[in-house]
Amino acid sequence: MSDEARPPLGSWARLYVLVVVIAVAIMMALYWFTARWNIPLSAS
Amino acid sequence: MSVIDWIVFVAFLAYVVGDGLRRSRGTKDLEGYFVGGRSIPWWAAGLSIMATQASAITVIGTTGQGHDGGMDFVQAYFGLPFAMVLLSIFMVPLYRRLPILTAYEYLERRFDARTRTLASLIFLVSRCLAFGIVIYAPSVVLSALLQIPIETTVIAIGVLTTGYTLFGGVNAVIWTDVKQMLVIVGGLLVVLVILLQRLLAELDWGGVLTALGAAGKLNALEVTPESSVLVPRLAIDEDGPRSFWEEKYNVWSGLIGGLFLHLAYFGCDQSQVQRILTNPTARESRMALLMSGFAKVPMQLGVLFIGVLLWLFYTVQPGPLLFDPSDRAAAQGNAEVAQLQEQHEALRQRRVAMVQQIGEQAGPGDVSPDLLRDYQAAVVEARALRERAAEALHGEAKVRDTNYVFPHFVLTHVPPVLLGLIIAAIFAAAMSSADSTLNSLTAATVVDFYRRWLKPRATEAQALLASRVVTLCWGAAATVAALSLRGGGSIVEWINKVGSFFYGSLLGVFALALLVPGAGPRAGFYGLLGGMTSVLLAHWTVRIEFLWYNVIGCLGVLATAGVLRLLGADRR
Repeated sequence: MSDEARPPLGSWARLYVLVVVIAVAIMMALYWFTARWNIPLSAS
Repeated sequence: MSVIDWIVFVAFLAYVVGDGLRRSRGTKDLEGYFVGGRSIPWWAAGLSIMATQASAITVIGTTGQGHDGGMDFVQAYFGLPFAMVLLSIFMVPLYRRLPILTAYEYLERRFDARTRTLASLIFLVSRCLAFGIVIYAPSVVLSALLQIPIETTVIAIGVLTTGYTLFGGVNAVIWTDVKQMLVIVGGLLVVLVILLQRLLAELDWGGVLTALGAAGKLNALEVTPESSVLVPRLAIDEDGPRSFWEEKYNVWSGLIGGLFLHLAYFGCDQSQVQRILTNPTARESRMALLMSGFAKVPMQLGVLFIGVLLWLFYTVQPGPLLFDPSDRAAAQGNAEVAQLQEQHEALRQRRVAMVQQIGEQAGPGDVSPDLLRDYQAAVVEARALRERAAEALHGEAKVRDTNYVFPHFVLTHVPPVLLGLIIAAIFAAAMSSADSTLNSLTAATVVDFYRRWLKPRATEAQALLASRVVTLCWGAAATVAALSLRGGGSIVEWINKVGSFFYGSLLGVFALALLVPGAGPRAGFYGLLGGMTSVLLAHWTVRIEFLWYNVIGCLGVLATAGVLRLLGADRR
């Protein structure tokens, strides 16, 4: 089997989905983090 | 800086330059000089991709942005992971199928020679505008750190980078980038540890976050824009309400504008496309891109967090009113600035007391409204005092010391040996970006102009010699340009702004080639011109932030091509 035929995680689609899922998870975590910890300067 | 720091710094430089020169062995043709014989492993190309983008920007510019504006800049990178996936799907197979050395060669195969030439010219103009800044901006900071003239640091970066790139080509660039990237990450981690150590001696972890959050510094993701006005304000409209498009960083500009910017930068900018071309297989090219897709957002978060920690550090510890050493020298004997400095210090001491109270709360939401109001007013006042000092010195109430915050901390609070390492990291960051720019400018000049138009029958040996001469010329030109530059502000924004004027149109013409099979040569050439014109018109007529220029340029290309098609003026 050639190197080209062996994508990580078995298929490229899975790896792409993993990248997207991690990116979305980071953004959701940052959304929570901002809502939990940040108060904009104009808020007071 | 102590002798031991100088030894660490010079030893690192000697090692990098020596290693770069060693890589010149085996570079016998253009394939070797520009794409490393297509034999670079994915992890090295991936680290080089990150080091090229990192520049001194990441080390000094982004930490400065964190200090001044908080974490919001991370949103500009939200589109990057999605861009990497799209590029892996669409662009990697395209580039790897063809025996090309520059991205723009593909455009000749798809459209015609003039579209390729125009695209390559746009790349050359945009990159050479940024190249001087890439050398100049860190040189200013390094000259302040090392207490040597700026001309010396500019020449050192220019000569050393040109030297190893001239002989070793892309092989030298990538392998020095790998080492430079490791030193950059190491240097940043050292600063992060020192900062946390100092701050956690004053506050607990929750107190640090509460004090930062109450000052609005933890603004990592802003869903609700400041303005809901969707009609852009005209450029001549000074007093009208700000529109949605004028907000620099929010999740929407980051996801949409950032997606277009990163698609263009990693997919159409020769300095990055060249990395895709250096790997032995398409699989490795994809892995190199996805590595950056995984790592870039967390890395930017870490760097910005260092910036906001620096802000808190200079709240609980005494610091200068202005961080630029030349400002401080100019302020000597200036009674107005001395008075502002006293006010700033008195205000800081009030803020320290407030930070201690705030730090005892479970979160910023638990801080009493009165205390929160006073604290935020003090934060705003401190900024206003800095602006008044800048006005007293420069006649303009604009603080331009973003790039000096990190170096000032390093110079005054980092112990010997580690200081040498961090200064080496800043130098490494400057060289890792400059070398890639230099090699890619040479690739575009030689492949798209010299061998395409001037000397199509040049032998490999002649073309390689021409490449080395062109590298020398670009290196000299950028060094001279850097010597003549003056100014301040954030480096990272400068580079992104310059790029955003051009990148959207480049992305547009590649998108046209890929997505519209019926588009012909006229659509490619005039589309590219139309995209550039759209960005210029938008810049002159409406107030809009630079990330959106990437979207406008790309849509401008597609719209121009559509109009030509409707008019029957484009046939494939």
